[in-house]
Amino acid sequence: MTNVTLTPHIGSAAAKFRAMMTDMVCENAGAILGGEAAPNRV
Amino acid sequence: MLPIVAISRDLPGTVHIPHASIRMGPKGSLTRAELLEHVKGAAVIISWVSEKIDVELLDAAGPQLKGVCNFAVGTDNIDLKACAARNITVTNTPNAVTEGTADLAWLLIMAVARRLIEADRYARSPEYPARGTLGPTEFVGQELTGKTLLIVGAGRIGHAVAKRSLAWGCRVLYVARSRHWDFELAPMAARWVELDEGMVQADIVSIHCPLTPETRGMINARTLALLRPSAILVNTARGPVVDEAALAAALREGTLYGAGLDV
Repeated sequence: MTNVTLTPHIGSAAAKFRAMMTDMVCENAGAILGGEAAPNRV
Repeated sequence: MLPIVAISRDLPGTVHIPHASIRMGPKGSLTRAELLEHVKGAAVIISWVSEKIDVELLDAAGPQLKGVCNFAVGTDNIDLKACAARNITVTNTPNAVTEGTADLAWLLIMAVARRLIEADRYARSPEYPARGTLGPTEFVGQELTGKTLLIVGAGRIGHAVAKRSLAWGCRVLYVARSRHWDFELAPMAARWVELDEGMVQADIVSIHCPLTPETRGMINARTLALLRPSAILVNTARGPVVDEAALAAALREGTLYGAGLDV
Protein backbone atom coordinates (compact mmCIF):
# COMPACT_ATOMS: atom_id res chain seq x y z
CA MET A 1 0.00 0.00 0.00
CA THR A 2 1.62 3.23 -1.10
CA ASN A 3 -0.81 5.45 0.82
CA VAL A 4 0.46 4.23 4.19
CA THR A 5 3.58 5.46 5.98
CA LEU A 6 4.81 3.35 8.86
CA THR A 7 7.27 3.98 11.67
CA PRO A 8 8.03 1.57 14.54
CA HIS A 9 6.63 3.58 17.50
CA ILE A 10 9.48 6.10 17.58
CA GLY A 11 7.47 9.13 18.74
CA SER A 12 9.73 9.94 21.67
CA ALA A 13 12.91 8.68 19.99
CA ALA A 14 14.91 11.91 19.84
CA ALA A 15 18.11 12.08 21.88
CA LYS A 16 17.14 14.94 24.18
CA PHE A 17 13.66 13.59 24.93
CA ARG A 18 14.85 10.05 25.58
CA ALA A 19 17.50 11.37 28.00
CA MET A 20 14.77 13.40 29.71
CA MET A 21 12.70 10.22 30.08
CA THR A 22 15.65 8.55 31.82
CA ASP A 23 15.97 11.54 34.18
CA MET A 24 12.25 11.31 34.92
CA VAL A 25 12.19 7.59 35.71
CA CYS A 26 15.26 8.06 37.92
CA GLU A 27 13.62 10.96 39.76
CA ASN A 28 10.46 8.91 40.29
CA ALA A 29 12.38 5.82 41.39
CA GLY A 30 14.43 7.95 43.81
CA ALA A 31 11.30 9.50 45.31
CA ILE A 32 9.64 6.10 45.79
CA LEU A 33 12.74 4.72 47.50
CA GLY A 34 12.99 7.81 49.70
CA GLY A 35 9.36 7.47 50.77
CA GLU A 36 8.44 10.77 49.10
CA ALA A 37 5.60 11.49 46.69
CA ALA A 38 6.62 10.45 43.16
CA PRO A 39 6.30 13.46 40.82
CA ASN A 40 4.72 11.48 38.00
CA ARG A 41 2.45 9.09 39.84
CA VAL A 42 -0.39 7.90 37.56
CA MET B 1 21.97 -3.50 51.78
CA LEU B 2 20.83 -0.92 49.27
CA PRO B 3 17.41 -1.37 47.70
CA ILE B 4 17.50 -2.78 44.19
CA VAL B 5 16.23 -0.86 41.17
CA ALA B 6 15.74 -3.37 38.35
CA ILE B 7 15.85 -1.67 34.95
CA SER B 8 14.52 -3.91 32.21
CA ARG B 9 16.64 -2.39 29.43
CA ASP B 10 19.70 -0.29 28.94
CA LEU B 11 18.54 3.34 29.13
CA PRO B 12 19.74 6.36 27.13
CA GLY B 13 21.43 9.24 28.95
CA THR B 14 22.67 8.91 32.52
CA VAL B 15 21.05 6.71 35.13
CA HIS B 16 21.45 8.31 38.51
CA ILE B 17 19.44 7.08 41.49
CA PRO B 18 21.06 7.77 44.87
CA HIS B 19 21.10 5.12 47.60
CA ALA B 20 20.14 2.30 45.27
CA SER B 21 21.76 -0.69 43.71
CA ILE B 22 21.10 -0.56 39.97
CA ARG B 23 20.45 -3.79 38.16
CA MET B 24 20.70 -2.72 34.52
CA GLY B 25 19.11 -4.78 31.77
CA PRO B 26 20.67 -5.49 28.39
CA LYS B 27 20.56 -3.40 25.19
CA GLY B 28 18.11 -5.87 23.69
CA SER B 29 15.02 -7.31 25.33
CA LEU B 30 14.94 -9.93 28.05
CA THR B 31 12.79 -12.99 27.49
CA ARG B 32 9.80 -13.19 29.79
CA ALA B 33 11.57 -15.82 31.93
CA GLU B 34 14.69 -13.66 32.14
CA LEU B 35 12.61 -10.62 33.06
CA LEU B 36 10.87 -12.51 35.88
CA GLU B 37 14.32 -13.44 37.20
CA HIS B 38 15.68 -9.90 36.64
CA VAL B 39 13.02 -8.22 38.83
CA LYS B 40 13.41 -10.64 41.75
CA GLY B 41 14.00 -8.75 44.98
CA ALA B 42 13.60 -5.31 43.37
CA ALA B 43 12.21 -2.36 45.34
CA VAL B 44 11.54 -0.48 42.10
CA ILE B 45 11.18 -1.74 38.55
CA ILE B 46 11.85 0.54 35.58
CA SER B 47 9.88 -0.91 32.69
CA TRP B 48 9.49 -0.41 28.96
CA VAL B 49 6.13 -0.49 27.14
CA SER B 50 6.56 -3.96 25.69
CA GLU B 51 6.94 -5.52 29.14
CA LYS B 52 3.77 -6.75 30.72
CA ILE B 53 3.70 -5.78 34.38
CA ASP B 54 1.05 -8.20 35.63
CA VAL B 55 0.34 -10.21 38.75
CA GLU B 56 2.84 -12.89 37.73
CA LEU B 57 5.61 -10.32 37.44
CA LEU B 58 4.67 -8.56 40.69
CA ASP B 59 4.77 -11.97 42.41
CA ALA B 60 8.15 -12.71 40.84
CA ALA B 61 9.53 -9.40 42.14
CA GLY B 62 8.39 -10.08 45.68
CA PRO B 63 6.63 -8.25 48.52
CA GLN B 64 9.37 -5.59 48.89
CA LEU B 65 8.34 -4.04 45.55
CA LYS B 66 7.30 -0.41 46.09
CA GLY B 67 7.17 1.09 42.63
CA VAL B 68 6.97 0.57 38.90
CA CYS B 69 8.35 3.45 36.83
CA ASN B 70 7.29 3.11 33.22
CA PHE B 71 9.60 4.56 30.60
CA ALA B 72 6.60 5.87 28.60
CA VAL B 73 3.59 8.09 29.01
CA GLY B 74 1.09 5.27 28.40
CA THR B 75 0.68 2.64 31.10
CA ASP B 76 -1.44 0.10 29.22
CA ASN B 77 1.30 -2.53 29.76
CA ILE B 78 0.74 -2.34 33.52
CA ASP B 79 -2.01 -3.93 35.60
CA LEU B 80 -2.80 -0.75 37.53
CA LYS B 81 -5.44 -2.40 39.71
CA ALA B 82 -3.06 -5.12 40.84
CA CYS B 83 -0.42 -2.48 41.65
CA ALA B 84 -2.93 -0.38 43.61
CA ALA B 85 -4.08 -3.44 45.57
CA ARG B 86 -0.46 -4.03 46.64
CA ASN B 87 0.22 -0.36 47.34
CA ILE B 88 2.76 -0.21 44.52
CA THR B 89 3.26 3.28 43.08
CA VAL B 90 3.16 3.51 39.28
CA THR B 91 4.73 6.43 37.45
CA ASN B 92 5.08 7.49 33.81
CA THR B 93 7.04 10.08 31.81
CA PRO B 94 4.65 12.78 30.64
CA ASN B 95 6.05 15.98 29.09
CA ALA B 96 9.26 14.28 27.94
CA VAL B 97 7.41 12.50 25.14
CA THR B 98 5.20 15.44 24.17
CA GLU B 99 7.26 17.38 21.65
CA GLY B 100 8.88 14.37 20.02
CA THR B 101 5.55 12.65 19.47
CA ALA B 102 3.95 15.85 18.16
CA ASP B 103 6.82 16.27 15.70
CA LEU B 104 6.44 12.69 14.54
CA ALA B 105 2.70 13.10 14.06
CA TRP B 106 3.39 16.02 11.71
CA LEU B 107 6.16 14.09 10.00
CA LEU B 108 3.62 11.37 9.20
CA ILE B 109 0.89 13.83 8.21
CA MET B 110 3.28 15.53 5.79
CA ALA B 111 4.68 12.24 4.51
CA VAL B 112 1.19 11.01 3.65
CA ALA B 113 -0.04 14.36 2.31
CA ARG B 114 2.96 14.76 -0.02
CA ARG B 115 3.48 11.05 -0.79
CA LEU B 116 7.00 11.12 0.62
CA ILE B 117 7.69 7.37 0.64
CA GLU B 118 6.39 6.91 -2.88
CA ALA B 119 8.37 9.92 -4.10
CA ASP B 120 11.54 8.68 -2.41
CA ARG B 121 11.19 5.29 -4.09
CA TYR B 122 10.63 6.92 -7.44
CA ALA B 123 13.57 9.30 -7.08
CA ARG B 124 15.87 6.33 -6.37
CA SER B 125 14.58 4.25 -9.28
CA PRO B 126 16.31 4.24 -12.67
CA GLU B 127 13.06 5.54 -14.12
CA TYR B 128 13.66 9.02 -12.73
CA PRO B 129 16.99 9.85 -14.46
CA ALA B 130 15.75 8.09 -17.58
CA ARG B 131 12.61 10.22 -17.82
CA GLY B 132 13.89 13.42 -16.29
CA THR B 133 11.74 16.13 -14.78
CA LEU B 134 8.20 15.18 -13.85
CA GLY B 135 5.19 16.71 -15.47
CA PRO B 136 2.96 19.17 -13.63
CA THR B 137 0.28 16.58 -12.87
CA GLU B 138 2.59 13.93 -11.41
CA PHE B 139 3.09 13.26 -7.70
CA VAL B 140 0.51 15.83 -6.78
CA GLY B 141 -0.36 15.41 -3.13
CA GLN B 142 -2.22 17.60 -0.68
CA GLU B 143 -1.38 20.89 0.96
CA LEU B 144 -1.80 21.44 4.69
CA THR B 145 -2.77 25.09 4.48
CA GLY B 146 -6.23 25.77 5.86
CA LYS B 147 -7.10 22.14 6.51
CA THR B 148 -9.38 21.01 9.30
CA LEU B 149 -7.43 19.07 11.91
CA LEU B 150 -9.23 16.74 14.30
CA ILE B 151 -7.32 15.93 17.50
CA VAL B 152 -8.64 12.81 19.22
CA GLY B 153 -7.55 13.01 22.86
CA ALA B 154 -6.90 16.51 24.23
CA GLY B 155 -3.88 15.84 26.43
CA ARG B 156 -0.41 17.35 26.22
CA ILE B 157 0.55 15.62 22.97
CA GLY B 158 -2.73 16.50 21.28
CA HIS B 159 -2.21 20.10 22.33
CA ALA B 160 1.34 20.18 20.95
CA VAL B 161 0.12 18.75 17.63
CA ALA B 162 -2.68 21.33 17.45
CA LYS B 163 -0.26 24.13 18.32
CA ARG B 164 1.99 23.17 15.41
CA SER B 165 -0.97 23.31 13.04
CA LEU B 166 -1.23 27.06 13.54
CA ALA B 167 1.74 27.38 11.19
CA TRP B 168 -0.52 26.15 8.37
CA GLY B 169 -3.59 28.05 9.47
CA CYS B 170 -5.49 24.87 10.24
CA ARG B 171 -8.93 24.89 11.81
CA VAL B 172 -8.76 22.70 14.92
CA LEU B 173 -11.49 20.39 16.25
CA TYR B 174 -10.95 18.17 19.26
CA VAL B 175 -12.57 15.13 20.80
CA ALA B 176 -12.28 14.65 24.55
CA ARG B 177 -14.46 13.54 27.45
CA SER B 178 -14.58 17.08 28.77
CA ARG B 179 -13.84 20.55 27.45
CA HIS B 180 -10.28 21.83 27.39
CA TRP B 181 -9.92 25.59 27.58
CA ASP B 182 -6.31 25.49 26.44
CA PHE B 183 -7.70 24.22 23.13
CA GLU B 184 -10.56 26.67 22.94
CA LEU B 185 -8.74 29.92 23.69
CA ALA B 186 -6.67 31.89 21.16
CA PRO B 187 -4.61 31.27 19.19
CA MET B 188 -5.97 27.74 18.71
CA ALA B 189 -9.67 28.57 19.05
CA ALA B 190 -10.49 24.89 18.67
CA ARG B 191 -14.01 23.50 18.79
CA TRP B 192 -15.05 20.56 21.01
CA VAL B 193 -16.92 17.99 18.92
CA GLU B 194 -18.29 14.48 19.15
CA LEU B 195 -16.12 11.91 17.39
CA ASP B 196 -18.67 11.35 14.62
CA GLU B 197 -18.97 15.03 13.76
CA GLY B 198 -15.21 15.42 13.84
CA MET B 199 -14.68 12.47 11.50
CA VAL B 200 -17.18 13.95 9.04
CA GLN B 201 -15.48 17.35 9.01
CA ALA B 202 -11.80 16.46 9.28
CA ASP B 203 -9.16 16.65 6.57
CA ILE B 204 -6.59 15.33 9.02
CA VAL B 205 -7.26 13.10 12.05
CA SER B 206 -4.49 12.70 14.61
CA ILE B 207 -4.94 10.25 17.49
CA HIS B 208 -3.54 11.09 20.93
CA CYS B 209 -5.75 9.30 23.44
CA PRO B 210 -4.54 6.59 25.80
CA LEU B 211 -5.50 2.98 25.13
CA THR B 212 -8.35 2.12 27.49
CA PRO B 213 -11.36 -0.20 27.24
CA GLU B 214 -13.35 2.83 25.97
CA THR B 215 -10.84 3.84 23.27
CA ARG B 216 -10.00 0.34 22.01
CA GLY B 217 -11.35 0.05 18.47
CA MET B 218 -12.84 3.56 18.68
CA ILE B 219 -11.69 4.15 15.11
CA ASN B 220 -13.48 1.28 13.38
CA ALA B 221 -15.34 0.49 10.15
CA ARG B 222 -18.26 2.68 11.18
CA THR B 223 -16.26 5.74 12.21
CA LEU B 224 -13.82 5.39 9.27
CA ALA B 225 -16.78 5.40 6.89
CA LEU B 226 -17.56 8.95 8.07
CA LEU B 227 -14.27 10.28 6.67
CA ARG B 228 -14.06 12.15 3.40
CA PRO B 229 -12.02 10.39 0.67
CA SER B 230 -9.31 13.07 0.95
CA ALA B 231 -8.81 12.54 4.70
CA ILE B 232 -5.52 11.57 6.30
CA LEU B 233 -5.44 9.51 9.50
CA VAL B 234 -2.40 9.44 11.75
CA ASN B 235 -1.94 7.33 14.86
CA THR B 236 1.08 7.96 17.07
CA ALA B 237 -0.71 6.71 20.21
CA ARG B 238 -1.49 3.01 20.59
CA GLY B 239 -2.30 0.66 17.72
CA PRO B 240 -5.49 -0.94 19.08
CA VAL B 241 -7.29 2.43 19.22
CA VAL B 242 -7.70 1.84 15.49
CA ASP B 243 -9.26 -1.40 14.21
CA GLU B 244 -6.41 -2.42 11.93
CA ALA B 245 -8.44 -4.68 9.63
CA ALA B 246 -11.06 -1.98 9.18
CA LEU B 247 -8.36 0.60 8.38
CA ALA B 248 -6.68 -1.69 5.85
CA ALA B 249 -10.04 -2.28 4.16
CA ALA B 250 -10.85 1.44 4.17
CA LEU B 251 -7.47 2.27 2.60
CA ARG B 252 -7.93 -0.36 -0.11
CA GLU B 253 -11.42 0.91 -0.86
CA GLY B 254 -10.37 4.55 -0.96
CA THR B 255 -12.55 5.55 2.00
CA LEU B 256 -9.66 7.84 3.00
CA TYR B 257 -6.58 9.24 1.27
CA GLY B 258 -3.88 7.69 3.39
CA ALA B 259 -2.63 6.83 6.85
CA GLY B 260 0.48 7.26 8.94
CA LEU B 261 1.07 4.86 11.80
CA ASP B 262 3.68 4.96 14.53
CA VAL B 263 2.43 2.15 16.71
